[in-house]
Amino acid sequence: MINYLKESKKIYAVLDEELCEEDTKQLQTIISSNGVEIINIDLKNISYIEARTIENILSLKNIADSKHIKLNLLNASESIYDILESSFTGIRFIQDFSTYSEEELLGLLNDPEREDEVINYMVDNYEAHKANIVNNAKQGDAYVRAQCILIIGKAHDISEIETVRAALQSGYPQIVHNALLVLGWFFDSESKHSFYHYLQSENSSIAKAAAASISLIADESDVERLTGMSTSSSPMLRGIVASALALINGDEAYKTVKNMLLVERDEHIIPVLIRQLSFFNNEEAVDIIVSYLDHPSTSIQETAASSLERTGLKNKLDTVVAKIINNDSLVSYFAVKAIGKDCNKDTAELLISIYTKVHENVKLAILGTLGIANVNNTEFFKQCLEDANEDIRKEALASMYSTDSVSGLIAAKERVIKDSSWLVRYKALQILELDGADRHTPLLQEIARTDSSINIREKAYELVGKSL
Amino acid sequence: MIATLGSIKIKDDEFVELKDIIYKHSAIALADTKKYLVENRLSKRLHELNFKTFKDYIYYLKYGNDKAKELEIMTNLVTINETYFLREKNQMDNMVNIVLPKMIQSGKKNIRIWSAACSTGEEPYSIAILLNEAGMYNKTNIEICATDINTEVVEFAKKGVYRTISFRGAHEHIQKKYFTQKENYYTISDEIKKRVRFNTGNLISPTIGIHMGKFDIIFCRNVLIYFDKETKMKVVDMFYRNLNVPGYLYLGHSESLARLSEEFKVVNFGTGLMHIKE
Repeated sequence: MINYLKESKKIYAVLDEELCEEDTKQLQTIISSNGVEIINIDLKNISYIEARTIENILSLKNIADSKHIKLNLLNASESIYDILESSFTGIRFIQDFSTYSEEELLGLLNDPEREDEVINYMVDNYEAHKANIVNNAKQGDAYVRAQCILIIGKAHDISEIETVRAALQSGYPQIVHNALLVLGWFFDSESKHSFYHYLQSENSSIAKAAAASISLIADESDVERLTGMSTSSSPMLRGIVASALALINGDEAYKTVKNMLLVERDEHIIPVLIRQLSFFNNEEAVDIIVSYLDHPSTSIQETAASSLERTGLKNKLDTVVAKIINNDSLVSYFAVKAIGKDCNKDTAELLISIYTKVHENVKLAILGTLGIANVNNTEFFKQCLEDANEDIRKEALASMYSTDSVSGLIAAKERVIKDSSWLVRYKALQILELDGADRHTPLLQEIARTDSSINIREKAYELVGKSL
Repeated sequence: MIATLGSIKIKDDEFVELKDIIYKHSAIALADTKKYLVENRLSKRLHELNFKTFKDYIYYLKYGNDKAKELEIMTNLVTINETYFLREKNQMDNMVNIVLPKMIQSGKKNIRIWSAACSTGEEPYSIAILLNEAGMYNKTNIEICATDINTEVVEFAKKGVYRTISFRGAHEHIQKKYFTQKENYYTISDEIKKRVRFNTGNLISPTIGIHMGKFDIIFCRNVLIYFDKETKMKVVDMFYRNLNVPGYLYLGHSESLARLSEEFKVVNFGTGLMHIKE
């Protein structure tokens, strides 16, 4: 049984359970009439699909193809999609929430895999759904209520600020969390006292949302107030306060976070403070963070090294490079990545000189860093292309192309055929794509037909599919 | 680290490689449509580990000191499946009203049921609830075993605490009778909880059949769709070997054994299919 709607040159057909012979004939007649350009078959009500329905869709597709009419399948569930995807080629699967009723849309807000898409759709079409959204933001099922508050915020409907403020009184954490975020987006200074109240919540998500909202409406008095809270006996609150200060940023906030880190003894909070300090663009912060590379705790060293990737090394390049060999491999990995664009000719030579002495993941980081350095290391990359490790070969190929596109392209054309690893061949394909797929059509066509890896065939087909 | 807690975007090549890693570990073949899901579910983990790109994370999975543990964590995060109480109830009704009475009539004293991909526990608890509603526990010994690859969802299931979302398919009287509400959470009664035995189990493990033993009924719904054909065949073969005679296999509505196994007899019971080992 189907329900259909003809709208200008489009046909919408909503299937209910199955597509029988009679319905198919009816649709065939409709699409045979002049003027139809698109037929959309909506599968939103289909939870399972029978072979005869697939056959009937296929026969419709054949007719549509013969008349140059586009056939789209709308709103297929994941299991239906999996079945149909393998049965059809050249058919478009589209998510079209416009065919859903208000009730169905609200129901989809409960679907963890689709809620984000539905929220974005409802934000884009806010006016059409506003009454229902606001109603549910006031009194809906707890989870739907939380989502509707978020939609009000994303649509920036400040006329509903009282609805959102009222939600702060909810006993449901997700509702309070979303209300806090939205009031921050609304720059609601009148709710500042509530933000500070929730900053001390034992629920870390709520406390973080409060910190984010405080930072959005902060003035100098807030830095002072947060500084006053920075010596709290609660480790979690100290971490949250530092987060808020990093978001506010500025010299005064920096001083507080720095002082917090220097006196902090809790090894769970030290990494939080190091990370927050790295959000300040300050040379002294780099010095302080580098000093934590010598901390006895490996996890603190790792956080320090990864934070340096954010700050850059400034004048500490040599200090960090010197620590690469003798450190925990993840610390060294982050340290090499932190070198990043600061990698000059001397540093590149140093990295190459220690290359054989470090762990595999550090070698990968070195290859990546050499790939963004403005230094030609083609000969070194060529040696690495012969390594037994496929990741090494992949990184070497990518970095060679980044720093020497002519040699990189030659290597890619060779590797895309002969390398035993599909990962390396995939990287080579990406390089050919960057060079312009149309310049390599015969090679790509051959790969699409003959490569042993489905990942490679699919990628090659994507690049030259139309000409196959 | 609020300032950077957004979703980390996964590049095409990273997604393809991560899919490959997940497939090799769990035989779950993620569709391309899952890219967004992967970003959403793994970004927080990347932030926790101080990684800024999925490439960093992939190398950590391959070369990190705790790579085996991390692979487990990653699989848990990606494979969690959404389900609800009394989902596709027709099959459970068929089992309770037709299959089990026949078994009891034939003199069977112990009946074993396996919920082979139980996720957060809604399926096995639903089975236990329906068995209780039909008074089956007074008529014979019934054991329900429930397994899932995801260690986190198994722990969740053992606790038996659910949100409203899990009751989309359940009548209100079931919710009131078997659950205790506290604010927005519903805890399953001990009476039902004690009927289900939960364990972690990977359907593609070569030893799972030996560990689980023989069953009379197996539910494995909406799981085979994640496997490729070869893996599906292995799993279905394992089910066949682990079923007694007669043995009943219930799959998801959109799943079929066509081209996977010719061993089972397929019976259409009017509102669904069951696969019988005779």
